[in-house]
Amino acid sequence: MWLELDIQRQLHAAGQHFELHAALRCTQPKVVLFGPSGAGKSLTLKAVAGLLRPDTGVIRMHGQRLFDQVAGINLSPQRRRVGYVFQDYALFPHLTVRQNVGFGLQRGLRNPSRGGRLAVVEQWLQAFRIDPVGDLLPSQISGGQRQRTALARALVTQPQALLLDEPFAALDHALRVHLRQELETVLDQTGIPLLLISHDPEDVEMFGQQVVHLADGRVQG
Amino acid sequence: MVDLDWSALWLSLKVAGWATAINLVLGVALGALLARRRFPGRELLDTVFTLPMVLPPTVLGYYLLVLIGSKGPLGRWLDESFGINLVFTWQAAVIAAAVASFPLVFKPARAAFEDVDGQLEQAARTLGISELALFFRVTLPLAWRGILAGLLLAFARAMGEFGATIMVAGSIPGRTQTLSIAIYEAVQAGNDGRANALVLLSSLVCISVLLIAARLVGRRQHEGVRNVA
Repeated sequence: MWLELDIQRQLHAAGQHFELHAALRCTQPKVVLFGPSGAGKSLTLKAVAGLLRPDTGVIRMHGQRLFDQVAGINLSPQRRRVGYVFQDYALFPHLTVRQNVGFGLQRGLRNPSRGGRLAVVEQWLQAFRIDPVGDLLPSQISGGQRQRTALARALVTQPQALLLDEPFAALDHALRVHLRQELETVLDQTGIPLLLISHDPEDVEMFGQQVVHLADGRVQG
Repeated sequence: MVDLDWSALWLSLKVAGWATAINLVLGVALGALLARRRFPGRELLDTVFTLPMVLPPTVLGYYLLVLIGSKGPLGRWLDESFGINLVFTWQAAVIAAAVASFPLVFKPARAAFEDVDGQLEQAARTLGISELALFFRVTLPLAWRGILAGLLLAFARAMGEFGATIMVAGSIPGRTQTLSIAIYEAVQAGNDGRANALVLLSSLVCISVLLIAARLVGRRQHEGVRNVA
């Protein structure tokens, strides 16, 4: 079991009230969190990454407590070492594809230089076949290339888990099929566990070794 | 005719330069703080920081005089602790110009920081980048254009500062008599030749600032945001 969580969080916005109560145990390396929009899937994923603080509960990854309200543990997102790919990728618009991928490897107050070449970065650019567009900005490349850039950026830091928020939703069908295959290959090669959220049954078919259903903020039996 | 004019121009540039440098640090820091952190009294603080833009400069000058004058809390402390008296010095002119032009940096800076997609900062966090580093590597480069435009306007405003400056720094030729004050004095004295020369000089400086601004902003628009990376 690489991920175990049981969390609660109350949300209030514009007079709306939402209560998230997610409990899941990821026993398989590839897990799909499945459910309709607004079910709390993204909130759950954000809580794992440390981008949303639960009111109560526990989150444990590979045996390490990332969050434990009672014990007062709440690791910062920086210390959780998870690869997170946002639904619209959240690529840095002022950096090239190559700089985006190398972003997490560069410490300090400066971004990776434009001309710099790091072997690990080049390797991931090639693995996702985005090396020809390495010097372009995110605004200058296609949707599929953006998605690959976001994946490469997350994987280059050797995360202990990969969290994907609707990673294929913005792409056309043919590209989706292709990219799922690509991701599957990479995951099998690296052995990095995956938690993917989706409302697309085809994602479930491909990555759903284990499927968790979430609706109205609750895990459905 | 020319010798005194250059000293007024030089003084104006020095005062406006220092005022803009101070506002670069304070305006950016406070703009980022109010854009990113939620705390009680945030909007009240925003109103206070915007006040110099709407208050008459003489009112601003009076407040400053009360604060840094020899009987004011800050003025007395400076005098007793360090023997410093700010009133009627060029440093007082810097303070007046900085306070008067502060909203022109702070307002656009706050707006520019609010425009930066918070998700980009979250992405940087999951990649292990510290809060300080992500400010300099993600937030600031993306907000920089808006801040730069504010800085140039603030510089022009600081160059033209009159009301608050004359109250706290006075009009000592060669020491605190900036370009705009020198123009006023020349007109009052009926020295038309001198007034004409100073007005021309002042206009030239302002046109240059505008041209530089247009160039900088234009180049950045042309090349996207690549330059700041």
